[in-house]
Amino acid sequence: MGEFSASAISGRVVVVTGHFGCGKTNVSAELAKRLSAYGQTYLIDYDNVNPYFRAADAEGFLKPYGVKVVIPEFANTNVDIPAVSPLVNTALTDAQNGANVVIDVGGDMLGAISLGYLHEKLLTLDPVVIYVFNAYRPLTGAWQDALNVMKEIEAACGLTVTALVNNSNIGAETTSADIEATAGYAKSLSDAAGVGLLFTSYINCDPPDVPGEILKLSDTTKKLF
Amino acid sequence: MAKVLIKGNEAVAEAAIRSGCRYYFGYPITPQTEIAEYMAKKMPTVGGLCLQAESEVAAINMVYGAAASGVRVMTSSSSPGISLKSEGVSYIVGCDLPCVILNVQRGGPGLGGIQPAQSDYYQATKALGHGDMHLFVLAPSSVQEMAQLTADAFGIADKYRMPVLILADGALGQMMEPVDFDALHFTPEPEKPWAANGHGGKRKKNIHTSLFLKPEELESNILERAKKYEQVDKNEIRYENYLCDDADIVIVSFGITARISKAAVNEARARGIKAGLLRPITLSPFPSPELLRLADTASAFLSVELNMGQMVNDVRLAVQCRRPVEFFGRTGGSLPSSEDVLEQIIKISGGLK
Repeated sequence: MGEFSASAISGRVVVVTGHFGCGKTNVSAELAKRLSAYGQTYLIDYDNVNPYFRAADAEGFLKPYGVKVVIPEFANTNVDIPAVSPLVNTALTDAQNGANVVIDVGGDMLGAISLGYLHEKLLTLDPVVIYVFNAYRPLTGAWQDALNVMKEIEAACGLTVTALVNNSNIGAETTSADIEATAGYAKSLSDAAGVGLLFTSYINCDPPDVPGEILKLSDTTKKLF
Repeated sequence: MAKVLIKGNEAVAEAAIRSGCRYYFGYPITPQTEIAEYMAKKMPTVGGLCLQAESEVAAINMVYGAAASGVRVMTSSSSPGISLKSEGVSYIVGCDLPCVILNVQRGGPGLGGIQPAQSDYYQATKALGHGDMHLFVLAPSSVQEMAQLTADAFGIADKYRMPVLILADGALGQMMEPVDFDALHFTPEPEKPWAANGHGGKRKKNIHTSLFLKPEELESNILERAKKYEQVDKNEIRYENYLCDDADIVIVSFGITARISKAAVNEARARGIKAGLLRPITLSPFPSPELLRLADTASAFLSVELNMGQMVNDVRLAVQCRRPVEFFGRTGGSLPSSEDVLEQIIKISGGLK
């Protein structure tokens, strides 16, 4: 057990995928915050699926770190259309010169389809493709379900997942024991997928005692009350 | 694992399946599409059917047919889609058939927007369909309650043979909270001797129609149904009384705004203002007797809603004008903050002195 260091992925394009509601946005925002210590950093809100809770909400959280948050023009408005900001291409051009770029993709294969637009460019950049999972989400309650969703996402976006992140939690009530209980699930998924675990995340609880590295996240989810 | 982390929309779908609902007919619309997605994934694994109809009108008429055959069935939509369903809902009421309908409200009128609202309160409680009719309307306020009230809705629908509308909003549908599905309680499905599911030559035909050729027959049908509504009013009112019994100012609020208002009540109490929250869980029947009782002890009422002031009029009727009833709300997809509500409480409490 040790703390994950973002230096392991600095200077790379990091594509964050996962089942919808697995916590991709919290993971993306935290990675962008930590990568900002290693140079110019972009967080791209590439979610064309979720109408309410999205990376655009992390803009205030990331401002002190100088992270540029690229938001679709119509995020958090009433225009229910999938739109990609032209600044996405700017960020990827800067990535060729060593900028850190974190792309927070929409949930499931539906969200990943829109990555197809960037597919060829991303392949030339050799991205880190993260698959985030939460064992406490009902539709990925078994690791086999999570594996199926991962394969659907890979097929939809034409990229291969290179790293897993275990973001298992049940919201504010999560205890480190809840997270530790998912270590077996994480190992089964990692073995079956043939992809290593980058880290296990936690927010409000004690650091979980799990194999591999851990990373404390900040809760950037929009609060309604 | 007892608890899962789940969106309100998903919680409704899972709770419906666990309640024995095996038929879902719908048409996608933001912010409730996760229900259809969840049903599409789960229904085939339990031997059920999830069907994306060609329109909301088609979906509600499929519900009508399925309900007549005696199965547990539901549909869901968001505000503009619910308007489309209203004709079918009236027919279902006219045949006294049970079903569950979910409205995950968004801003209106018209296409409006996709952000949360409670501006369909009038539609839900007064006129979702033509004719002398009511729906049973439940208003959940947490994701756990989205699940439990869905389970309850199927039981109530069967008990009174009437459609039950769950009036949620985009925030409740989209937000995620931990839910313990093992803690839910379910109402077993009763025998349905009235079901039109094949008489097999062994019994009289069961025919469900809302058409009556003689006015006297229609009148007596409506009068019979009115007796049922009286029973509903007598037996089924539900509310949460939070610190109201010694409160000077009673906030009346349901759904997501009740969560915001509760935070404001706690803040007001911390500042020495005696505030309370009366949260209707049933909007129809409305908790009028409890509000009238509180009019004896409270000095003022404040209705907090995501609209221009709809439920506030039911509160005024309930307290029979014995106390002032103020209104505060945001509309068009914006939510008030608990600080906004607190400011209103302070303003009213200053006015009381």
